[in-house]
Amino acid sequence: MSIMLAAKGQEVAGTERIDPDLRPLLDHIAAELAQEYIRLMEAAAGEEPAASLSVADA
Amino acid sequence: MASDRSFTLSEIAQRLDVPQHRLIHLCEKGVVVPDVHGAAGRGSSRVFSSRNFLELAVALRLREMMLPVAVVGAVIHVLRAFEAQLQQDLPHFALADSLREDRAPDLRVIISDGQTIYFSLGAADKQPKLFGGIPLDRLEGNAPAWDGQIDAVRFRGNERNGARGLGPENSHYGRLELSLTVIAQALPIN
Repeated sequence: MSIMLAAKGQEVAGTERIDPDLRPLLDHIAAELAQEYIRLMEAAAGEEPAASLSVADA
Repeated sequence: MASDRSFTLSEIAQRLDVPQHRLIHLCEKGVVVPDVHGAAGRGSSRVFSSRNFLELAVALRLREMMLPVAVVGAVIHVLRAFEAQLQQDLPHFALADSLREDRAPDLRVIISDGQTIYFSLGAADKQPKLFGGIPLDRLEGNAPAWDGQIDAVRFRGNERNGARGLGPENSHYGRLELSLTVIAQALPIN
């Protein structure tokens, strides 16, 4: 099962326990974290090329 | 790269040195869903991805800190959604691999005053930024009806607002902090 399916709420058990009202909030936090993570990876890559990028993405 | 590996339940139990029933409990509670193969019936066994491996390790640590299953499930949900967001820009991104790299950002979960949960993220040698600020009782379903307002998410810098609080989130009395990056780096995945 791909993670993209999970993110779209198609996963069966893993997200059942999460209050549906809370999902947008949790997903919003995840999106903010992702933005900051990319910024940090780019900053690290600027200091030392590909230092923080995964092998596949470097 | 470890992201394309798969693991049986007994393998992970052995590598994390925990009884299998603790992992099964996390699966049965829906905290971790096996990516490769679920336990669909008698004789069927769960098979996990490396992402699941990280999720199980994080979930076990959070449970050892006495956090309720619902809260642990919410943390794992954020991790999954976080990785999915990153994969939109970097299709081959794997959180477990990325956090294991030398200069990986430090991703942490913070429980403030036993009441509020935050995530923090920053470069290893820099002050982190805070995300979240969700009351634990909301995650446990014990609070009055959630109004669903997304602006409850707080994104703050590192200033302590002149207070003498603990940590970047200004806890008053006490705090628990768990580094997901350290857990990933200690993961016996290879």
